[in-house]
Amino acid sequence: MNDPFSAFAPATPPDAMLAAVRREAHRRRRQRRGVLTGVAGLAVAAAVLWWFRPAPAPLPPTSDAVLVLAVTSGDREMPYTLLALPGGRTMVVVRTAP
Amino acid sequence: MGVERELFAAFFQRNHLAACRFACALVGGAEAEDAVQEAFVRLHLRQRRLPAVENPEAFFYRILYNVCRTLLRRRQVRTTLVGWLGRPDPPQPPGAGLELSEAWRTLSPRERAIFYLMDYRGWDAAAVAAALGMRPATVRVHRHRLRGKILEWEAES
Repeated sequence: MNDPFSAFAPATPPDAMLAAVRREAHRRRRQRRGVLTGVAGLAVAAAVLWWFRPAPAPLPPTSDAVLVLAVTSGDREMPYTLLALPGGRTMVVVRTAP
Repeated sequence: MGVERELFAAFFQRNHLAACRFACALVGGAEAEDAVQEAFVRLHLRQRRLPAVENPEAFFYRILYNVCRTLLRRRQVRTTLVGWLGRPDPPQPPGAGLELSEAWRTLSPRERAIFYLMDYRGWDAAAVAAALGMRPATVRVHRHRLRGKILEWEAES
């Protein structure tokens, strides 16, 4: 069969298109290389930051609610907890039998 | 690097015109050259692989076919958006050249590609299948269906 599209003649000469193709390919290669370099740089920076990260802050003192001792209540010993409240006050929590 | 450059230039000279006509059959004359240029750019980016490819023409035509499908998809989105917005179609670029006939437009891109490569270029089903990324049996089925459509067109005309 005859090709009806054989009448199509490209407006751009082949040499000009070949040059444009090479230019565009080089531009994309450079762009891709730039992106890869950027990603690699970010990865290295993240690794360095992680490696030299500051030591963790010390934990807060545990004197807020800690003391559990036996105390006499009538003729029984009951465990209790001292809670430090804001303003320097202290609350005593006594666990009673059910 | 020099060998690859020469290989690519030879491949380009050998396939440029035929590729333009194939793209014209798929997307029309206005965007055919853009499609071909984009396909050659993508091939250039993979030119190191080119000597190892068993069938470079099929490899290239697969790229070109995918580029053409992308262009058609974009065109469809543009047309839909223009329809929604109620704006007139943008003017065609000058020198658009050969445009697709109405009958040709009724074919899907895949059918156009199969019909063009098998009937106008004389490729066999295996080569077309390699170029379009499908099985030879699928190509033959499409070709068989196309034959019916073409007989209808001929009867109408």
